[in-house]
Amino acid sequence: MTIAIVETLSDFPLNPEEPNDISLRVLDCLAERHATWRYSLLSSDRHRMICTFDAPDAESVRESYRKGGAGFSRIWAGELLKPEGLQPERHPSLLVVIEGTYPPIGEEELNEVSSKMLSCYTQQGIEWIQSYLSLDRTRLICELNAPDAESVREAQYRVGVAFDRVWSATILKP
Amino acid sequence: MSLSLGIGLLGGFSLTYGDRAVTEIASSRSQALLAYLLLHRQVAQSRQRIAFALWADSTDPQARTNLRKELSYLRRDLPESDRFLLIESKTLQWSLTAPFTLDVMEFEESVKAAGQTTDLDKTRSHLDLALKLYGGDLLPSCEDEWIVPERERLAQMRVRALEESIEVLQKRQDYRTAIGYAQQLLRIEPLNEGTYAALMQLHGLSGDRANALQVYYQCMTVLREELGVDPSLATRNLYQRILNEDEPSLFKDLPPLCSAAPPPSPPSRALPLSPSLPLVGRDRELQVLHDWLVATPETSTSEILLLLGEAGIGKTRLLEELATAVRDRNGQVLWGCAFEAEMLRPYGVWIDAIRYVASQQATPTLPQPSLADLPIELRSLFPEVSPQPEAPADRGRLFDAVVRLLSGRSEDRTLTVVIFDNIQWLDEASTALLHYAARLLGRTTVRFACAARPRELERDRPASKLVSALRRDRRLQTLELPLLDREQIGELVRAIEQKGRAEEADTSIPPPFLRGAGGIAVDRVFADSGGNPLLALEIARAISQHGTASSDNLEALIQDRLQQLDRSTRELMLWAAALGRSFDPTTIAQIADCPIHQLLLAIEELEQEGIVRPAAASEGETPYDFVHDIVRQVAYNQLSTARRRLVHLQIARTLQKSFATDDSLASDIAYHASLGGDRALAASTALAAAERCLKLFAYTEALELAEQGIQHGRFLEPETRISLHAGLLRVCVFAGVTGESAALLETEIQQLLSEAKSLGSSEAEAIALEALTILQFDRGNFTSVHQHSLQAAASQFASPATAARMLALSGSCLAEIGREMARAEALLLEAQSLAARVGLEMGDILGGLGCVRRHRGDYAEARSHLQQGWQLTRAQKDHWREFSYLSYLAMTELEAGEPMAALPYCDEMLVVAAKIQGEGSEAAVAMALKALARYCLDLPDAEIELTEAIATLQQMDAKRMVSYVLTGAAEFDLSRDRPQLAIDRAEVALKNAQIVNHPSEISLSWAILIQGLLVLGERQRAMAQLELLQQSIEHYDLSFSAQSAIDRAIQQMQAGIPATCQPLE
Repeated sequence: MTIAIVETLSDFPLNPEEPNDISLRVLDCLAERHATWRYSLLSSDRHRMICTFDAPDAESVRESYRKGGAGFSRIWAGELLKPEGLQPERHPSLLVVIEGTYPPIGEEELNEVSSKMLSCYTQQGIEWIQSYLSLDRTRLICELNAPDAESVREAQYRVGVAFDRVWSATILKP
Repeated sequence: MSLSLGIGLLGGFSLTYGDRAVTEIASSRSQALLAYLLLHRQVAQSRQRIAFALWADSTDPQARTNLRKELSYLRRDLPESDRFLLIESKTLQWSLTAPFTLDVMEFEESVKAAGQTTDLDKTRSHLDLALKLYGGDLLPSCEDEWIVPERERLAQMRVRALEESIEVLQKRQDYRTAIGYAQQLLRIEPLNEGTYAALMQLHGLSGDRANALQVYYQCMTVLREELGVDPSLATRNLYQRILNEDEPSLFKDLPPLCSAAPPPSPPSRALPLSPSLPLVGRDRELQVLHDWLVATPETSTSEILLLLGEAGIGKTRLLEELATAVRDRNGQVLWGCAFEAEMLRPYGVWIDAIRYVASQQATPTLPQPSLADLPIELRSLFPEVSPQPEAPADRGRLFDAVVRLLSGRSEDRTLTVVIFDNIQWLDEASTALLHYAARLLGRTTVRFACAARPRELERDRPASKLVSALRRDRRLQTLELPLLDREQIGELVRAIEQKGRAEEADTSIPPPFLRGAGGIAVDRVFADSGGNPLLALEIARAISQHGTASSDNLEALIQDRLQQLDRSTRELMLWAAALGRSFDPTTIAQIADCPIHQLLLAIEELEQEGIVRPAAASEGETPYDFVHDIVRQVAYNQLSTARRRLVHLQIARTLQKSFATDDSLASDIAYHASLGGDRALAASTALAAAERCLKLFAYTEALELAEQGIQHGRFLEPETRISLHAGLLRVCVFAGVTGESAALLETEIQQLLSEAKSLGSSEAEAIALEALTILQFDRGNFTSVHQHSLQAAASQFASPATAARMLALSGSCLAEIGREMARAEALLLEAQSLAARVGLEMGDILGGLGCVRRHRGDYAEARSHLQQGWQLTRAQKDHWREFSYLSYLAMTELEAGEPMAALPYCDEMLVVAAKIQGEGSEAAVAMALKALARYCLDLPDAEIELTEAIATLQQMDAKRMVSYVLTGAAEFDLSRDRPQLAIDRAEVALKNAQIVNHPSEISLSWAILIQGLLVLGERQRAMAQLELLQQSIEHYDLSFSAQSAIDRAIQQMQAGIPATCQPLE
């Protein structure tokens, strides 16, 4: 199975807690394709959402979204990266998401940057929970426990790693 | 001299000392104390325990004080108390050595003694004594908790004693006394069904059939009123047996019923009626039925069998023979019959068929489903299972639930035959469900057999459309029943005469139709009947009875016969005829306000005279039906117009009493109220029935009922009419109207709105507004509809448009991913028929059907559907669907071996992909299909483009498309003698297809892989792979291209020659 990541950026506030006809249609199509929802991350301003699915392939999720009539910005298959050893639990009130788009990142380069980032995170009181890296290694989404989004931005600036977006998140689960 | 003390506790307290009655111990506490000591006489009882038991609500010291006081009274009043009471400082006990008798003790000993002897007379004597001793409950004046279990135990002993007595008396054939005991038992336990059964049997054994049947009705009434359940199958079977059998000797073989053991199971009735005459002149037809039954579904899709023939030709009789044959093969039969009066009863024939199968006796090999176990989606069809069930979410789920119910037995290869008689009167909803189920179950062991009158089918009725559609799909096998020839009529006449003689010999009473008969002239019967068996039967019957037949007209002959019935029987028959369908005795008794025993006698006479017969049994009471619909019609025609009105009115009003608990009666009530002239009732129940139809997605019936309701409403006062009218118009909107009808409906709603305003009816106004909103939405007038108001309005019913959208979505989803194609097609065709009601065209339907046709290898049809879908979605600016249909068109051309024709579609796909919002995979898919088409055309740089396109698809994680493109390329490689490349590509394709579980892609890539291996001469490996492939695809409906590739691989394997480079098909 693949982990499929669905990124949504909406001009209108999203309200995924109350499923409408479109979401029900998408869920029906996902079920036909043997895809299941894992969890979603919703930004505090409700304009940004990242949903994750277990699916035979990312295309199954794309088709379901298209067929059900739901919008999305991007859907991709992700590799799950986790810290070695004990993985920190998500702290609902401290959950922050950072997204970045890069030229294809090699394994070594990624390890090097990660090491720098983690050290800086520790100083800032930030915990790395887990990340998703796209198959083409250009897209990275990280989940963190952080005092606020700004402290994450500061850490990124300090180490010199660019990012697209940092936001405080709420987790939605089945 | 010491006298004996006699104590009685059963039925009340009594005490004697010698011959003298002791009355001094009168207080309830003294009696309770004495009873406590007597009943616990075996062991000394502590004072504390006694005090607590007798004065449970008092404090401990107070209880002890009370005990001391009562004990002193007892010592004072009980003769020779010191001999009988052993009083210690801490304990009390009844002396076992003092002379006394206790009725409780004697009762227990008698029961015990009865159980210890095998001598029937001694058993009877002990039981008689025990029952005599049991004068009533143990010390009824005592309300202490301690005595309750003991009282209950003794009562149960008495029940057992009664049961045993009945058993003994039955063996001794003393039915009268046994009946008395059984009646006592019923007074004790009025809800004990076993006792009713015992009593029925005892009456039967004593030759009193009327009372036996009356007990059944008493049982049924009590169980229904008290527990809301019907008698068990065992009791119903007993009832049926008593009802059907004339010979009391049959009961003598039955073991007693009153014990806990269930009554023996009578052989199940194989058919809704037991044919009394042999089947004549139908050898050819029987052979056709046999051949149809044994046709294996693996070899071909089964056909629906349709028996055609005029009334009285013997269609039902042949269906019964078919049912018997199915049962002989341990198969299962679902039997339903459509009625002209019930053409607006949605799913009527299915409901009856499912009730029928649920009522059949289970066998070890054929467990029968109970209605209570039905899937939740079907509960709304069976009010008796759940009075207020939730309506199914959509028509597809309702239909799928029926398909699951039928196919459940198919998995273990059990033959299941659904038989529907008189389908010319089938309602639209039943027809749609039949078509759906037949489409999906074509390759299973489920079969469908129907019968119809061809002339009635010619009318524009739902069944006519079904027959045309099945004929078009080559899924119909018709069997026309010819008239009988002279020899066959002769055989029938001889059979009638033989049966008459046999009955005469058995009963020593000549059967009515042979009284005074001589031989019957076959020529005359043949000439007058024209070879119609039913008419021949009636003529022969008339000649037997009167020496001549008054007419060669079937109706006239039947009429003559009805005239000879007893007057009260004829009266009851008219009520049954007016009901218009099979009937259960209780309903007729209620409608005709007739005592049940009189009704039973009437039914008996009608049955003897061959006018009614037990119909297909359902759970609960055994229904009856006229032996033929013509007989019902002739009976009904005997009612004068004025009388008919009254009869229908009475039926409507009687049924109305049950409406609160069974809303499925609404259409029946509306029908009878309409014929009875009660317009208010007809209009209001038409509305209720129509709304129920909407909930069950029976739109044709809903519309018809609404229109009838509106017609009745026109005669009502405005205040009464306005809300009903609004509700009925709303039903019309939900049921779906198109074109001019929609415009007229809108005008009518607008007029009603004005009227509602002027009358100040806010309720009618709200309903009309809602109807208007939905109508405007369905007509595409979105601007005048606010989404929120639409949602609010659409919450109650799913309109055909909504239902069609849901079905189309499900069907197209399946079709596009290549799974469950039969179901996909059935869903899409159902969606298409619903969408047509409201003049709607849907991309999902066209695209989905295009995929289905492509799957089947019908490329011309696929192109046609997909091009229509493309044009439609382009006009609707639904870019993703437009893109999808273009991609399916490109794939269709590739599979049809026309890669050049695929290229323009690919170019168009790239244009449309740019219009789709969000970063999807569309451009990558378009590039990949284009690269494949170019590769198959051997164009320059095509291989590089293909490799790049596949890499992009892999990065996008579009596995199905990766598999498709790689397989297509591999197939081409094979044709260009590049077997190793073909194998490499096919292997990757196979892995991808397996992950997304696409059966046809799996099979196709695997077959190419095998063909590649054969070309390389790796025969062993190829054989191993073929074996694995065949195991993995056993149950799948593969695409035409996949199946062709497998067939090619097998042929090459069998030919033992390497696959040469074949051009693509």
